[in-house]
Amino acid sequence: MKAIEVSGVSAGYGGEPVIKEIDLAVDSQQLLAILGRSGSGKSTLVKTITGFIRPLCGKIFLDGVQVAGPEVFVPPELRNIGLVPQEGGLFPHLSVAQNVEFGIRKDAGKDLRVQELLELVDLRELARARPQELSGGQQQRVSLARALARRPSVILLDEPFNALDATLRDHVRADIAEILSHTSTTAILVTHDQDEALSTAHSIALMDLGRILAFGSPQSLYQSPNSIPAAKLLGPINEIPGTVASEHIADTEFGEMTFDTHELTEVGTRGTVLTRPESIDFGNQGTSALVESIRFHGHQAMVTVITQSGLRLKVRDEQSVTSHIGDTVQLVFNDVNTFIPASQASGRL
Amino acid sequence: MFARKIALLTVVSVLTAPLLVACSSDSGSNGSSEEITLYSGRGEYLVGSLFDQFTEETGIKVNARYGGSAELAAQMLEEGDKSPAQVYLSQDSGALGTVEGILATLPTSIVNLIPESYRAANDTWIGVTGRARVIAYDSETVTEGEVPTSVFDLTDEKWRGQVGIAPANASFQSFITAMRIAEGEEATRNWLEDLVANDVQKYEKNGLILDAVDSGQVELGLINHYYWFRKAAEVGEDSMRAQISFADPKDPLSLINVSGVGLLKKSQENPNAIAFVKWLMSKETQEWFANTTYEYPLLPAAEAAEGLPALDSLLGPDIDLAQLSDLPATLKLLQDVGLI
Amino acid sequence: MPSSPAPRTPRLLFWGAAAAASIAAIPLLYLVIRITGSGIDSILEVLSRGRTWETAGTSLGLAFTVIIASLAISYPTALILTRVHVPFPRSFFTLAVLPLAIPSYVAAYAWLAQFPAMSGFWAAALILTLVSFPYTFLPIIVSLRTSDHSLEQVARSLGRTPITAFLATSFRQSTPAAAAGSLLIGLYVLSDFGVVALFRVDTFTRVIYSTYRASFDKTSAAVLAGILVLLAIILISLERKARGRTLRYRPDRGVANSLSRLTSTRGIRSASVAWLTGLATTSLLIPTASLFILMSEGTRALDWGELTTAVINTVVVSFVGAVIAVGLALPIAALTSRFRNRKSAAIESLSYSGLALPGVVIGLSLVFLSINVFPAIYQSFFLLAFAYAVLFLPKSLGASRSAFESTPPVLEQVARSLGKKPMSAWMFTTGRLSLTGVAAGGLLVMLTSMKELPATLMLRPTGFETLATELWNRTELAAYGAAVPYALALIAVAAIPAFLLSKAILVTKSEEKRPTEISISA
Repeated sequence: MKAIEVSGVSAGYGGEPVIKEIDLAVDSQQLLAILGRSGSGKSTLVKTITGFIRPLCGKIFLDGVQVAGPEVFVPPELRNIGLVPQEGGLFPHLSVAQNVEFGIRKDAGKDLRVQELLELVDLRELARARPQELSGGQQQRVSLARALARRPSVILLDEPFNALDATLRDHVRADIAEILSHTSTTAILVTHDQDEALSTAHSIALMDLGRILAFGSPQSLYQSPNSIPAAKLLGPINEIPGTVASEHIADTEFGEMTFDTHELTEVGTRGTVLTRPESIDFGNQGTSALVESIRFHGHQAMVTVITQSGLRLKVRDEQSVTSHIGDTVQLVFNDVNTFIPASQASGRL
Repeated sequence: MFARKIALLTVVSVLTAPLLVACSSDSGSNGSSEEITLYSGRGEYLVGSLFDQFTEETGIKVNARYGGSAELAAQMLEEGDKSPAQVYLSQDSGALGTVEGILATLPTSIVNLIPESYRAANDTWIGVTGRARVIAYDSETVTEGEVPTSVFDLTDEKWRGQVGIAPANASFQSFITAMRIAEGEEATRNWLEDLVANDVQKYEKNGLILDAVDSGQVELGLINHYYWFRKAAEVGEDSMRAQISFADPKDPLSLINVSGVGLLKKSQENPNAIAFVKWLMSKETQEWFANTTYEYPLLPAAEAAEGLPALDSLLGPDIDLAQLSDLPATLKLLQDVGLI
Repeated sequence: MPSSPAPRTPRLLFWGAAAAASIAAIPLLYLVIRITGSGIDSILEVLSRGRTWETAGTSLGLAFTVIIASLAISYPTALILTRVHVPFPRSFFTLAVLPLAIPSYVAAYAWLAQFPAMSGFWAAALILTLVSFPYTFLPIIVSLRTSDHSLEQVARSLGRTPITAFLATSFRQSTPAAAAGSLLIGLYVLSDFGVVALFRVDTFTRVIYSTYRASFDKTSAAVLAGILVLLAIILISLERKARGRTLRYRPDRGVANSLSRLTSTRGIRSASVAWLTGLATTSLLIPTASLFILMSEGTRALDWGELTTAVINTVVVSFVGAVIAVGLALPIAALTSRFRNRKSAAIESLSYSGLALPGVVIGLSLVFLSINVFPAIYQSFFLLAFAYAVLFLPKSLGASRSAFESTPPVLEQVARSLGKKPMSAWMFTTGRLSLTGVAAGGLLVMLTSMKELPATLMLRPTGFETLATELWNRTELAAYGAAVPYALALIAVAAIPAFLLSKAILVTKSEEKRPTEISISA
């Protein structure tokens, strides 16, 4: 049984649906990241799952129980989904402890539970503080504690790290992932940050123009994307035109390149070989190219080169700077590539 | 916290509200018991104590609703036959004329108390008090001899920008109606146009004209006589810069207008309402008006206040007061010349 | 924050708001009945009068003059109080709000008593400005306090002078608030009768009054009132244009961007104090001092019992009216603050009709409705309170709406996800956080109701006297000396809600710090 199952859901705000025919499933205790640019329909999907929008068609199940469908609509307050919105969404007129206990029924165990939750997020000493006295990261942790208070079947984190500065973000992200796994909570993380999705989630759904482009583990999506847009969403990618020569070999301007494939492709099919910057190395022999620009990242560098045919490629230089602008370098292609036939280039599942 | 205080205040006030209403108004006046409901176009400040006196003498309580005569008339017309009003006391005959359709015919014993010229031809209302139109003048700049005695002198170049009128006021409109009847439509229209061309100054009310004359803003003002006497009584005669002059007895300017009273149709037989009207016309009440408001009593037996010229001597233009309710034509005329 | 398209309107909320708006639109309905009940000839006759359009022009001209003058007073005053170190800033702030307590007709009379030569368009414009500028001052100062100061610094860094930087940033950000306040002033001027009557300006409302008063010609009066509604629609649509979509939720980002007072030279400080003192003198001191002078001239002794009864009645009836107004405004504000579309705009516009129409029209329309449909409440305490609610609903509406707008909608969603039903989620979050703003709107209704006269005369229970009616009782008979204690009592009583209003704004802005934005604007 899946913790969340979304099948064939379309939804919107009247007029053209904003999200179309969404299928999604999350296993219990897993963290799914929904990754997409702003305007891709992520927030609408979240609102539909939480119950603030009624889908036009399709069904949604939580722990096997239908909460939305043609005949069923369970309002948000009865779905038991924890929500951690952008910037925390803490009630400014309530203290930290009051925020956390907001969703808990009044009974003997309440105070204990609040204590427990505050300990979980490591904010016990701030129980009486007002939200505006907390740092951004603390606010997010309170928000998470509040969402966890009712032992929800699932937690939705809607771009929760947006407002945090970069150094803080990694910490808070790790903290929250830790807490979620510690409490065995199923969660959906909505984000536009590929690193965040790749580093935190058990699985990723890529969203664009209201549809799910791809769905799978971070690793498989990163290394063998099923379309060019999906590939781009997860990070920089090189597109090299080629033709299928045999089962796992394509002919390109750089000679034969090996690729993995989702389905068998006929020999002679034209298309694109996708290769990540880290799948290209600088060597002593191979294809020569001219270094056009270098972006230095400290532990590594991203080098843009121009091949003789005029194709621009991005190469990750793990040694940090070993070349200079204007140098001629030799490129070696690794075997971790994907082939996308021209007919599927736009990438719909 | 602020919001909490407000909430508390709400609770307290809502709880005490019924109490306060009960103290300040005695509702449920259906006229069956010893009380009457009166719509009074004359202010409480003036007649409130008079009504108390009536209650004291007769035991009949007066539920008086005060308002502008015209507004009350509009309200009664809007209320139609569901109006709670039983008696309508009006500041001027014009307002009475417009509600004639919902007024009852008064008993002959009442209408015969006063001369024919001060009541409605169809006996739906009678005059209670009379007022003369006078010219107030600024005694510091104008001598009594210079004050015009005829309306037609007011358009003289000499008074350019110096004449104050209240064209929206019922008594001014009655005067124009009287002028139309006495002098003819054409002459009245010409006169009004001349008046406008002579930069006549418009005020909202008689009282404001008098204030303007008294403070030297205009030299002349057309008002009702008692405004002057009332103001003199309030601030002292010696401090009055404005003085008044009565017009030529035959001139439309010297029109005698009346305040009056009528019974609503459903109260035609109501003894309390009839008693109230009778009481208004009693010698004592009439003289109370004479001495308190400086108006002319209309009951022949009652005497006017000291210092006023006799009502008979003012005569006024030879017209029937009932004709003064021909307001629409007057209003049209005033609209045409741009005065209202 | 990327704005997502508005979700579909909840049906219950929509119908609740529609019901409240239709109650507010009763006067309009009455006008339609009266206008359609008459022949087209009489309508055309009214429309063809040159005077109709001439006075309509005067009314609009007066409205715009007063708006511009109010803005010209409000901006410098708000700037001084937000950016210059002046002594007693809170007291000066309160003094700039208190003119709301002075009924326009009392101010006009008080000035006229000292300066009898005052008359005409400019005198009326002056007095109307002095009593109504707080309607723009309040929203502007709130906006200047909350506006993002860093934008102004950016503009300076891009080479703008202090003045052009201000105009390009904070001023621009304040225009919706200023426009909303201007609308209230415009509608107020259109429907004002007292001041224009005393200063003898021929405005449209004055013509409507003369028409009602003189002829009981319901048709032409109704047609004229209909035109006034059209003029009001012009103002409302101008305001909506100025407001645009900018007033949606603005997160308050805390201390970093808040305004630091500029270091000011001694010259600027003394000029500022002179300006504030001058304003308080003309708007408060002159009228009240004039009233005290007049009172010393009165002769009749004051009946304290009568005065006390009038004070109590005034406070209670205007308070109940304010409570009803807030009740009617809540669903409309909840709807328009979150769902902005054509339907909600129509509902909002309908609820403004009360403010544009002269009191006599509102009065007669409620006479008409009540006596024909609810005769039991005719001329009852409740009907009078209800009339105030209809008349002044927009004032409470504007305050509630901007309070709701400044509360993040996500809080409501969080509350629902934590198990609260829609209503209680709203109460716990948006409702709770907007309480002060909503209360401020109620105070404004209360304060305006206290000064209302024409509808009060028509609808109050027989024998029920308020300060305004007692005042009228006396001035009607030119007993000005006797009227003065009532005028002063009215100012004193109305000063209480005005004072609380200024406190409410100070409290929210300085101590609570977080989202509730108070704005009295529409």
